[in-house]
Amino acid sequence: MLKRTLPLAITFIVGILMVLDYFVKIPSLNTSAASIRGWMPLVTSFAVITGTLNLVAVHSDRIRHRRPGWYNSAALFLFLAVTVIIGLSKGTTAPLYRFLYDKILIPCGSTMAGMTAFFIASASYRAFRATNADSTLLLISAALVMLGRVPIGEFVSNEMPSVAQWIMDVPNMAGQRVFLVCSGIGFMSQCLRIIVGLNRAHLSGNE
Amino acid sequence: MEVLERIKSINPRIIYVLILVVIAIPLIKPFGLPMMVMQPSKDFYDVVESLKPGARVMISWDYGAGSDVELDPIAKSLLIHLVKKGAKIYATSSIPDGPMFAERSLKVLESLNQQYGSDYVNLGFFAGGESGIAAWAENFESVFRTDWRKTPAAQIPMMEGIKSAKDFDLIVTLNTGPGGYGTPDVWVRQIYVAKNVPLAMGVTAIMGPQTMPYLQSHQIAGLLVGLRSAAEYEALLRAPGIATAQMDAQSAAHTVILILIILGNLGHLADKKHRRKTSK
Repeated sequence: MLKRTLPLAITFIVGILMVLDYFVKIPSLNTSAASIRGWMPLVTSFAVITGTLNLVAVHSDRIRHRRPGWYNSAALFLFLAVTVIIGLSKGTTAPLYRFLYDKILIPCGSTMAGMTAFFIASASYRAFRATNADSTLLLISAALVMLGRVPIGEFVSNEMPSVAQWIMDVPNMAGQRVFLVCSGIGFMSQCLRIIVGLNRAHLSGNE
Repeated sequence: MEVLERIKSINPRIIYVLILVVIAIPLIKPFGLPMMVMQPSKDFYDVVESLKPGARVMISWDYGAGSDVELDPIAKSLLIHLVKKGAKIYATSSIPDGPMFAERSLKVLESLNQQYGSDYVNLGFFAGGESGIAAWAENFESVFRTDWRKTPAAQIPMMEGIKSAKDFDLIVTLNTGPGGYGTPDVWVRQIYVAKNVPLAMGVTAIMGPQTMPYLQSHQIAGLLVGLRSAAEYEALLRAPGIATAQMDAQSAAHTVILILIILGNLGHLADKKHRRKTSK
């Protein structure tokens, strides 16, 4: 009862309350919904703690069993400890804490993002092939957008940016709208299933 | 024919070196290629231009280290423009790393003689993603009781009179998309749809196609996409910066990638012809 029925009842009541709050203006109902929304940031803050505990469990297991790349996990623990210690002792606005971001995290993150350019170049050369009508159409569209989005495209033709913009605004937009509307309907149906208790994966990990 | 067959199997290391060289040269010595300003950037510029002095603008730094290269130039250009318009700037973030990136971008305000607390403030990270946005959009104090430096909101002069999202003249999210806590669709739902507050976005180039429908449906007032838009915004402000310099590098990289695609396809065609001949 406490393990399944109570959480399902709470989900149903809170779910219905939040849906009604959006459409109906009743002061007591709107105040209750606002209070629940105020709790949410607090509740979700605990995700940082559970996430960290999970990270520690996964990586300590890798180190214990000397799995391939275990030293990366050791490096993770070292930097996790350094970040937490500096953050807790000096505060997140301290120059030393900012140093970790400005001189370590940001250069590493930018390097990781920048490296994709090399892989994209190599992958485009090997995989972007005009093997049939569909792939040829994709290839031509991609080439026009690639040229139109950089100044060299204007060097080739003044119309290139407008052509690229048209591809983005018309054919791309049509596809994106279909995706947005379909995912929106799917999202609504999933929410309804959770509210009425048909989807119980969040309770036990099983349907 | 043999040459065409060979070009379909260029060593990836040669491609990596080629890309490195063509990106490095324009970064060291920019070509200064002229660039047209597209309509979405002009529209975003006009939205900021229409703000009255003292307008309250919230900007959310919803990105991490991987997107800093693309979104920081957008943030800096936007901040310079907002200062020119005399707007009050409220920085926040829906991801834990965000306030650090906000601090980096906000440094530009110090050089423009802006005072912390009266001209701009960093409110830090708010937890909860969509729920968090919905919470402060309804009741600002329920989420933002202190700023990022732990100063109580009541002691910050520019926080006076801020009760909900409706007290802002414009809200901007600089967004990295999936993986973030407050994705573009979440902002549209909770800020534009639920509160009818003008919303604008700066997103990474990869997020452009997904966010454009919101611009066409006028659910967002402006949209800047990646480095190109940042460079266009710098052109509109007549203040060429890092984005303008990086566009030359992007031009060179795109050209090389296109040449490689053409070579790959020529090699593929040659291989096809060769196979047909041998099968006969």
